[in-house]
Amino acid sequence: MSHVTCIELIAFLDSYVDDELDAETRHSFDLHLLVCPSCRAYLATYRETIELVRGTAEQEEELAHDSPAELIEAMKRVKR
Amino acid sequence: MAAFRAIGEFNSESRVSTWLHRIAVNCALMKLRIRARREKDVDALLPAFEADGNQQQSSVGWTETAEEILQREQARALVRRCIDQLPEPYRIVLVLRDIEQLPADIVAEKLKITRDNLKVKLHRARQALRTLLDPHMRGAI
Ligand SMILES: [Zn+2]
Repeated sequence: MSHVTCIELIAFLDSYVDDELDAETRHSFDLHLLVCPSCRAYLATYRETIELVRGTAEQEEELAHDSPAELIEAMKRVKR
Repeated sequence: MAAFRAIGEFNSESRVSTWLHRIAVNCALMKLRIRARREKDVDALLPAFEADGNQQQSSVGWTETAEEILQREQARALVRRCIDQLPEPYRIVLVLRDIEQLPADIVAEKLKITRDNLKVKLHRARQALRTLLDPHMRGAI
C-alpha cells in the first residue's frame, strides 16, 4: 500500500483512528493526509463526531442525576 | 379472537389457516423489506468517490471543537436528533460501542453478528452521523 487514495483512507479510517494499522500502512496514510486537505478535514470531523456522541451521552447522565452546576464541573475535572 | 371465531363460522377451518398463514408470510416479508431498506438508507449518507479514488465532494472542517459544541444544550439536542435519524441497526451499534463503550466481542455476540461485521457497521454509523451533522457544524449552531 504505497499509494493511498481518499477511498482507501476513508474505508480504513476507523482502524487508523484506533491505531490498528501496521506501521507501513499507517505511514502511507500519513503521507496521503499530508497532501490531501479534504481527508484531513474528514479525519478531524470523524474524530469530532465520536467525541460528540460520547459527550452527549455523558451530559445526559449528569443531567439525569439533577446535579448542581458546580458538581457537574467538579465531575468533569475528575474525568479529565 | 372473537373476530377469528366469527370468520371460522363462515369459512372452513383450512381456509382460515391459509388466510392466517398468508398474513404471517406477508408480515415476515414486510419486515425483511423494511430492514433491507433501512440498511440501504445509510448508503446515501456515506461519502462518494470519483473513479480515481478522490472524494467526490471536498470535506471541510467544522468551526468549533466538540468540547465547545457540547457546552450548549441546543447543540447537544441537535446531536441527539441526528443520532435518532440513523437507521436502527446502525444506531444500536453506535449506542452500544461509542456511548455504552461495551467491548466489541460482547456487542457482536449480543447482536449475533461477526466482529468484522460489527466493525464495518460502527464505521458506517459514524460516517453517516458525520454526514448528518456536517451541514450544521460548518456554521455555528
Ligand atoms: Zn484524500
